[in-house]
Amino acid sequence: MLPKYPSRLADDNLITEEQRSRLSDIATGRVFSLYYELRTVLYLGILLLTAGLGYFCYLHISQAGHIVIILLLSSATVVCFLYALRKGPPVTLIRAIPPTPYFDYVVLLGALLMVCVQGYVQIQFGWLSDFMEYATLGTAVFLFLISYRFDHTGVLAIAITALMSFWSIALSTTKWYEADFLEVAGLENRAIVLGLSLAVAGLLLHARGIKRHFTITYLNLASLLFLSGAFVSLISDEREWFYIPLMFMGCGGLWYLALKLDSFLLLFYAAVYGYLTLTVELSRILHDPFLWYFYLLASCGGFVYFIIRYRKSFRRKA
Amino acid sequence: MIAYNPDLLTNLEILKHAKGWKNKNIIDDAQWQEISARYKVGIYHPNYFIRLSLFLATLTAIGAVFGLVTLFMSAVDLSSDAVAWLLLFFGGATIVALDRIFVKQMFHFKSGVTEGLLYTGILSIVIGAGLLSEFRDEYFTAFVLLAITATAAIRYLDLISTTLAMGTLMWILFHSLSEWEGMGAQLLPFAGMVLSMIGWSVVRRYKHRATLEAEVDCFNLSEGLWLLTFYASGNYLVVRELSVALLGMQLNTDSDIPLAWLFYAFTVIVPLSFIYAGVRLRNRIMLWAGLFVLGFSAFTFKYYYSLGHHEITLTAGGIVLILAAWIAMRYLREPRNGFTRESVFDESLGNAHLQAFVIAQTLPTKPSETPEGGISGGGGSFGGGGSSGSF
Repeated sequence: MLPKYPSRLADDNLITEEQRSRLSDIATGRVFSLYYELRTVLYLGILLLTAGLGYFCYLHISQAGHIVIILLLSSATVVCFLYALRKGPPVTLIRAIPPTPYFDYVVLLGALLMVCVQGYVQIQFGWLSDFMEYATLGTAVFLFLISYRFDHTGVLAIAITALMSFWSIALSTTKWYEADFLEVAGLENRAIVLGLSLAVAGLLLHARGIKRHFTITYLNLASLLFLSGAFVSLISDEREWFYIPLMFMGCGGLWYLALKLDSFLLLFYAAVYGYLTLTVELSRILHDPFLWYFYLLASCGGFVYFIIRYRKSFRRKA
Repeated sequence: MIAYNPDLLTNLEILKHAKGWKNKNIIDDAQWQEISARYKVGIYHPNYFIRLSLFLATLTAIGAVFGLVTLFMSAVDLSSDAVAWLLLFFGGATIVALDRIFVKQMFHFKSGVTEGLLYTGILSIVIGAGLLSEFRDEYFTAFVLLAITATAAIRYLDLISTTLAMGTLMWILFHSLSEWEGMGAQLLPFAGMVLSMIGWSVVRRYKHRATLEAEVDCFNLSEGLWLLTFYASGNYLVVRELSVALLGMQLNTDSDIPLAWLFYAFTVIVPLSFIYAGVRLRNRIMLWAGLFVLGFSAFTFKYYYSLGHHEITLTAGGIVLILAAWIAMRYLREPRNGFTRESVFDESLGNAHLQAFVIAQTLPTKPSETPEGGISGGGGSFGGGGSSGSF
């Protein structure tokens, strides 16, 4: 901001003298915020630390001192969560204000460390074959609790991811020996079902008014899961009569939700997957290059129309 | 010198800020209404998504015209010179259309259409000029590129043209020195530093005279780029690898590049002094450049002196960063000397509060509060981990 702008507005009596002094303090650098710098450094630090620890566990998995490592990591995790419990905001159904600037980061660090410990314990003690899926499920449940208690969308996304891996692990470890085509296709169907259930869960919670700012995280992951699962099925499966309507219904529903929740991202998913489906299906019936040329032209026009028609949503979220 | 109408651009910039202030509740709705009534937007400057799609649409349209012309021309057998002149004409026409029609009449400002026309124009003029000289003289092409991108940067305040102009300038310096038999290549690091310093101070001087924010953006970008080229000129890794590549220097474990100590020192000192000076002078560009090159310095040392324990490096680096951020956040719990850990628009920095701390600067600082036990948890987690390790 140029320092002359606040002065000019104040001279025109468009802002008060107090506002002018506040804004020109910002413009001249008299107030110098290190908000983004400090947060960036903190976040990078957490990423490096957990990456380093994860890598450490991976390298030294078969060496002595497991107990030490596990104790070390889990005490760090416990410390993070104790801090969070002590400092945490009161339980609320709406968005909570973080009590300290590093609160969110401590919760995130605790969650990432916990995933690290869990993976280590599992691989080390060979609970791989029998308990892995339940351990993953347990982690997911615990992370869901954490994300709701401490109001953390990042942890919620990790929890949903853990839930997703619980489902695919259940498929790959117990059924791999009888893996024929149908079972592999089952993975996509699982994605579709899980995506749908996540979306329904998110919407139910939304309707009950519980943590409405979480809804978009649910819908984001759910729609990616659903749409990619359905799209893969559409290409690989022969039962098109089922998957084409499913795909279009999914896109239509998502479109409706996107407009209702005013989310550009969801609108974009719906448009992209809808277009992909249409193109794939046309490629199976349409063989005339001339018609294809017109289809491409019409797509360009449609794209421009889409942008102009929904530019309000673009503007708000852009 | 700029192509846009400065008054309209000022209005646009004021409105942009006022909207932000309204969203942060610094000004109220009535004030926003008044401001937007006074400062009318007379300029077409859409947001990024529309800009991108207009850019693509412009390229498609230009491509269609170009394709049609090529189709007709392919019937006639043209000499290379004729093609070059056609390209020059095409590029010139594009830029005239941009300047006279889209900017002057339709008041486009960084609308996607402007970028599409500008880049096509630059590209066809440079290729045309190169073709005319049959690409024998690379300096000729480079100087044409430099001249046209610098003009575009000044006249259209385009950031990509600014970057291109600076890159071309550095390329010319680099190439002319490295072709100079004898001393040239050894002087390269120092020439790079000197050029960067000159460039930086020129930019700093002219930035103060800028009357529009769009101009300041261009200056800020090149200020940051000059800082980066300054660092790169003396960075040990860059100097060493270039010595090997350009001078054919044979380096083994015993030998090192000449003046290695100087470049080592440079690699350490420059990032730290960028960060220090950035905070001291309240220069955010320098601060960010410092943080960025600090990472590169760490990489430089890791590259040559790695102990092979990446996991320890990562973990230790993470701990250092977390501690540094945590200490700084603790230190800035109350704003000090105008430095704050909150966003400038934060409500806690409302006017009354702000006045208070600007006044409080002049008073002796109060003794810091004793830290509460819980807060040390963030940093103490590793201490805790260490103690359990001795079981």
